Amino acid sequence: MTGPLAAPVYALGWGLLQFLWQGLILLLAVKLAGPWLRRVSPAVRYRASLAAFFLLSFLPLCTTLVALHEFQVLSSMHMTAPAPPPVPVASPTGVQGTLTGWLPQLLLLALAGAGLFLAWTAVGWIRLRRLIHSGRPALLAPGAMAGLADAHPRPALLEAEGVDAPLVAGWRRPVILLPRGITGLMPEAELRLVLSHELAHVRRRDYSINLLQRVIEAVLWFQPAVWLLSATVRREREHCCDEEVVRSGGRPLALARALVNLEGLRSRGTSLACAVAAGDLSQRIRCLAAQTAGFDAAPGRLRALMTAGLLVLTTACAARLGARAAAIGLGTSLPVVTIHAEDPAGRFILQLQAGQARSVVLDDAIVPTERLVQHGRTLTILNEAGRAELTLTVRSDGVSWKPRPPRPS
Amino acid sequence: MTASSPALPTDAELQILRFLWTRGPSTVREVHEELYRDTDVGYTTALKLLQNMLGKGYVTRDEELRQHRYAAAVREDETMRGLVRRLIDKSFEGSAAALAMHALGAKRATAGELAELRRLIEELESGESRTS
Repeated sequence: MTGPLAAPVYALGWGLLQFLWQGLILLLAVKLAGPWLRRVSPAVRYRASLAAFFLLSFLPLCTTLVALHEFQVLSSMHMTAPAPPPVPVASPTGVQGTLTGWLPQLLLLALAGAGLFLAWTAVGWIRLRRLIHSGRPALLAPGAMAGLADAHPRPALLEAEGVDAPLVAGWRRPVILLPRGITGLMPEAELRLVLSHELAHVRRRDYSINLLQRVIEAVLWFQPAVWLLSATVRREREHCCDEEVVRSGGRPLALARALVNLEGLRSRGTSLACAVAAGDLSQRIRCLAAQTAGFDAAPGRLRALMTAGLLVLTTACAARLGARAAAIGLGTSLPVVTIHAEDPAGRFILQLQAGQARSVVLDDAIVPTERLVQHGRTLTILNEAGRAELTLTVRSDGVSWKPRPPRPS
Repeated sequence: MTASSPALPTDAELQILRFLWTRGPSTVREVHEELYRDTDVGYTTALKLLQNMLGKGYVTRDEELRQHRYAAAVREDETMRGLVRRLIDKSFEGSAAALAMHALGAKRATAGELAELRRLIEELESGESRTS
């Protein structure tokens, strides 16, 4: 692959390769911070894992852009005189692809996978919208609907066939879907607690963030760290919403009982399980129980800051190292193009890599790199006196230059 | 979330249907001999399967002769189409659920787990009432 697109494509390929170990490092950082955050409020843990997730997602782009920039800096030199109008064109006579000929294929595989996962997500979105459309407004007792009127954004409350446990969905306008006939199956007080959990999701805009997570998971499908962090975010999110229910006056054990009863109702039905893990029920109940005992919110701020610092530092280091490695990889992996050219003054041979001059042989002598000046597509070869001896324009199909006059013999 | 799919034959029922589609109306003995010769599936099990399939409408029974003959009552192409549709449905099953926030997790709790969770809550509640 030659031409101006070669460098960005190879840079992206190297960037994604670096991403594989970068994810591991960030995951380790998160694990390290885990013990600090154990007895801190779920909100802090949620924000930490969400921050880690988004930092991780930005890494590939970051690495690629920095690597590209570094590569240009390494391989290009300073400014030169403007190019004269070019006339003849010499085309490449040899191309030598180096060891990473498979990099574009790998990139293609990554993109194909992303396409498949995004398609799966798109189908899921269509099916979800269909389910929402099939829903009818749910009529609950006024006691159960407490809090719904002041919710902002105001969610639609529907019940539908094919829903086995309450859920919140939507992108900009949230919808709460309840199993059909739930009012007859659950006492009002328990339903109110479950609904306030769902309303907590609505208030926090979790439904939108979750969609963003899914899209990122689809694009970065090949990195297990993305999936793991995403699952952690979801788990902590449930704990956060449970905590909000408690903070707004619900008894933790009443909520626990409501959740267990809801689970009992679900297990009675014949519905197929969904493939999503939102949190282990027994773990949630234990967390709720811990909330009856009260948790230690005091050291929260310091630990949150330390965690944030650790995450940012780790990401920055990973990005730096990754970009450096990618730039080096880029330098060795792009195909080198050899051009033999001739004009009345003599012959010269050029070696270019992604449009940047690597070496020049002019009149049977290798030109030292200090005398090669390239700015963008214009390559100027200076003579010993520092004057322009030959100026070439690098094109996608070769090089062109104004022919030099024949040498006086 | 659920997918309310129309009833489709199970693997065992599909095997019998394939036999009936190729060999035409057959007796229970013929089915048993051909399909379950080298297995521990007994004659009565095969009979039960066919009787269930009769109940579900997959087969019809001709009771004219002493040995009842069973014939496939569903068409092969329709059934295969239905199975392909179910396969596609199954592979996209989690796709919609993945985009929503659920009150409960994915794994269904067993009756035993539910009982244990209820017991845990009882313990915690009695502990709470003791300390308060």
